[in-house]
Amino acid sequence: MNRRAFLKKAGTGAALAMAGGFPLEALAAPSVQRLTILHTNDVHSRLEPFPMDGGKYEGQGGVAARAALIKQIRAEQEHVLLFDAGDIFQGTPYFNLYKGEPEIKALSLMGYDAVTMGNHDFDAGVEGFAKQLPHANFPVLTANYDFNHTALEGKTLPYTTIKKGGLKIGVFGLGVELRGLVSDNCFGNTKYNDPLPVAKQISERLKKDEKCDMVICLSHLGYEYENNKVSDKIIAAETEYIDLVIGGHTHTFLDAPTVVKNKRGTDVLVNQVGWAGLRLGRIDYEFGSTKTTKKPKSQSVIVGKQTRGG
Amino acid sequence: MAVLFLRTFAAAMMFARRFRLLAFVPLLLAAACGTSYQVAQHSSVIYNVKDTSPDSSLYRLVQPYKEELDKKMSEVIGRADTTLTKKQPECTLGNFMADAQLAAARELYPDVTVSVSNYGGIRVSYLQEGPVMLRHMYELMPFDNTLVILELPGTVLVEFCQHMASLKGWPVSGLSYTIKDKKAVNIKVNGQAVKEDALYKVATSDYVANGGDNCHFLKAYKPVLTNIFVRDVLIAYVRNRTASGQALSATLENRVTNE
Repeated sequence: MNRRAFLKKAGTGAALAMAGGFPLEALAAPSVQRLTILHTNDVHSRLEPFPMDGGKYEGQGGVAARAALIKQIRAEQEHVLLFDAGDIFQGTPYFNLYKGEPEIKALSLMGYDAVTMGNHDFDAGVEGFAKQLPHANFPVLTANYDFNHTALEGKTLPYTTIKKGGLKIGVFGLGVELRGLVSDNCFGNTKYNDPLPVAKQISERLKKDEKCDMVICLSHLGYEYENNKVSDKIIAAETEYIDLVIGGHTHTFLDAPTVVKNKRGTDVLVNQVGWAGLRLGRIDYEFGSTKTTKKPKSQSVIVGKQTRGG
Repeated sequence: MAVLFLRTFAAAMMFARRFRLLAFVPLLLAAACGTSYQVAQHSSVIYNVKDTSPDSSLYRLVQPYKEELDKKMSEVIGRADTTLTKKQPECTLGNFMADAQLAAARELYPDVTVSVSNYGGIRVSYLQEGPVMLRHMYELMPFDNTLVILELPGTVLVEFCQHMASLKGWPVSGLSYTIKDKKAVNIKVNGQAVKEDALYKVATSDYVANGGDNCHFLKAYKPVLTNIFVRDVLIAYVRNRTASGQALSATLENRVTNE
């Protein structure tokens, strides 16, 4: 907040207080804040619903249906954030023909707040992704990719902060190791940094320096592995300040977010909604003041699977 | 940060004095500091996205792209007489891909005996029985990977099979193996036990040959390039079957089994 904005706000507050009869508590933000998080992952160029060919997913998915659903939720809830955890590109002929243009335009039109990059977002090369960025009205968050000396240099962010109501939300992105997964010529000079130390550093910065009320990690690392390869669950468990990991890469269909205890013994949610835009994840949060909310209540996860078109 | 805070504090104090509202200051500071909330509770819903009443602006965005795409992609190139599926250790969709790759490689180099497709390269979970359109092949193999031929010593072919077994089985043609405790055993090339001192010509994609899916052990072998997209190989295979009056079909043949 700059000085002028602060003075203006302070002035308004003072004026209201002077007018009398206005409860002082009302000048501070309300004691309970609500936030709805919506998310997708691994949509893989599925702009259209699956065709009506008798297949397992026929008629499901598609950006027009998703947009209608999002619009409806936004009409019902005051504070909504919308994220994607990567692999926006590749999987239908749309990508072969148009190289990601309609995918990025669709995300912009749906009002995504931030996305991270998946390995397939490198399929047209770093240059190919950079070329579509002018169509994006949202930040691309990639905290553990170093894009210096590539076409994406200075075009992505490690994290962003978003204000909703009285809340400040910190969001950062993590990407998977590219070597061995993506052709060398596609990722070029991109440097991959170990996600866990990056996650520790960024989440602490968001909590302590940026003073975020909530920290969200958009991860394209994958839900979990049989070996100890870094994953969404490991990021959740081995850090201290993340509240929610929105995952991708492993195309995992979860019926409810997984609750993981972090280093401080606090609950972290890890969620992922399969692939192809078949599902939209929604998590509704209620926040209490840190003064009155000593410990989060035993957190009630209400599981629901709903089919709602719009 | 600290300087900014002090300035803000000073400004607040000035205001407070002017309006004689000193008691009001702590509240202002609380608002200025920000961190005042934490998660109290949460609940979740998973929606199945279904096209009942689509959003018109997104529909309008996609439509012009779709029209051009449909013109190019709706061509029927053949017919599947059964639904081909993706599964491990062996699947019909994988067998079709590995067979098509082997057939295309043999047209160029008749001494190619083995074909390997990476399981992660199968990009749909099924190919529905019925008409096969160009778009289905793009969805099955969207990548612009090309067909390559590797000449591998028997020892490396065995290593390749071990890698496939550790990943629960990849599609193969001309080759068979059994997975026991994540290891490949009973490895055979055209029914004959693999010979460690023999050389085998193997058809695969440039992605795999260049070390993709952690096949780094293949990088030491220089592949013969064809510059033919694997997708075009699949399309040609379906077209050829159609031309000879055959539907696309694939069966499970115990190429890859779990013990």
